Amino acid sequence: MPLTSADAFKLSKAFHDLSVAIGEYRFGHWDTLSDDARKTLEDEEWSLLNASSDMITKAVGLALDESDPGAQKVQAAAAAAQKAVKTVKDVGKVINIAAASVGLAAAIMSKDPGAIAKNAKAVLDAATATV
Amino acid sequence: MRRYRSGQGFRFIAVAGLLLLASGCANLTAVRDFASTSSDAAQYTQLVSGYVDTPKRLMRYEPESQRPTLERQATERKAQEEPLLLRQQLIQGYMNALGQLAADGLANYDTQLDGLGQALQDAKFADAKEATALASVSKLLTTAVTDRWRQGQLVTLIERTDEPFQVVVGALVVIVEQGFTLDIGNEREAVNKYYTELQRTSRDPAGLAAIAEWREVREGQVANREVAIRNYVVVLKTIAAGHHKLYETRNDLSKVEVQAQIHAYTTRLKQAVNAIRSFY
Repeated sequence: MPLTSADAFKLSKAFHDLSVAIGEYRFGHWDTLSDDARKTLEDEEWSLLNASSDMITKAVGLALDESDPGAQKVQAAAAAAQKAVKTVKDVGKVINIAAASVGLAAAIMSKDPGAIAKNAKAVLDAATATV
Repeated sequence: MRRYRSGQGFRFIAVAGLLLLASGCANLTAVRDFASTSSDAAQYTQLVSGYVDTPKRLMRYEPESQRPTLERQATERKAQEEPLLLRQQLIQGYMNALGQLAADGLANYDTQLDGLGQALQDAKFADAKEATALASVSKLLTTAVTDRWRQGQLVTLIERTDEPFQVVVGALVVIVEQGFTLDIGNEREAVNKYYTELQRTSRDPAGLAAIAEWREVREGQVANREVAIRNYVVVLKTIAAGHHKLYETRNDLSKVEVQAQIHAYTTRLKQAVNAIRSFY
């Protein structure tokens, strides 16, 4: 999926916001979460924050390619995930959304269009399953 | 005798007038000040170092499991350092040359920057439009040096440079305004995650007090960098806007009202530079 630097900046912001939202969930439900759940959520938060940094590095170094419509789907998936994390209460669902989002970030870094599409759908599914 | 003296006086005035006309020297103090202030202001390499070193700083906050990712990121950022510094150097070098011409001096320019545009494009660190603009500014500077341009060619330099110069500065504005700002936002969140967790898990009052102090220190450092980044964006935008004003008024640069307008850009630059200097 070719990214413009503008796409990469938007994705960076999306992953940053998602990491913040999961962090707020973790600290907001600190006393009711198990150690394992806290640890899982924390790992996903750092992975998403680092994915955000990766997008910045890409954007700063990118020659401007043609934007791909897939980039918008990825942004939409990340936005849906963030919205869901802010409203859902079930930790299992939050973990699913976080894990799917980390998978999406990894797929973007691998530049595999099939993997990106598959993971974007997984994020959307995880986010909408909470509704 | 009187006729002789009067004739001598007339000749003196005429010769002085001719010399002034021949030199074509106008008082371009405002242009010179704007150019030299821009040249000084553009050179904040610490902001680039701050961006390049973010992954290394994040190592102190993130768990060991993230270390390989951060090490990879540190290597990738390091590779971006030189292209970013070269962009700053080109802006600095151009404004320096502009100031020298305004003072009717000879421009000097680091010809190492000559192949900058092509080098950045080859390394895929700049798109074709920016690479062309970088090469164009650089080539004009080389011409100014080799052809020994003086104040008489100032208008030509401004005229031919404004368009590519706007592209060069504009590209750096995007990198700093969006990239560096998002980057510092990530660091702020890393500080938040790290210290909030420590504060949640610590039971020792003295330890908690120490954590709170350290948190304050780190958050202060991040906030200072944020302010510096914001002001550097002001610097870059003011350099671009000021240069465009030079372009628009290029045939009236010695007029008092134009000099006043240019002076306003210099004042804005100095304010932004002072704000950066208070942190670096």
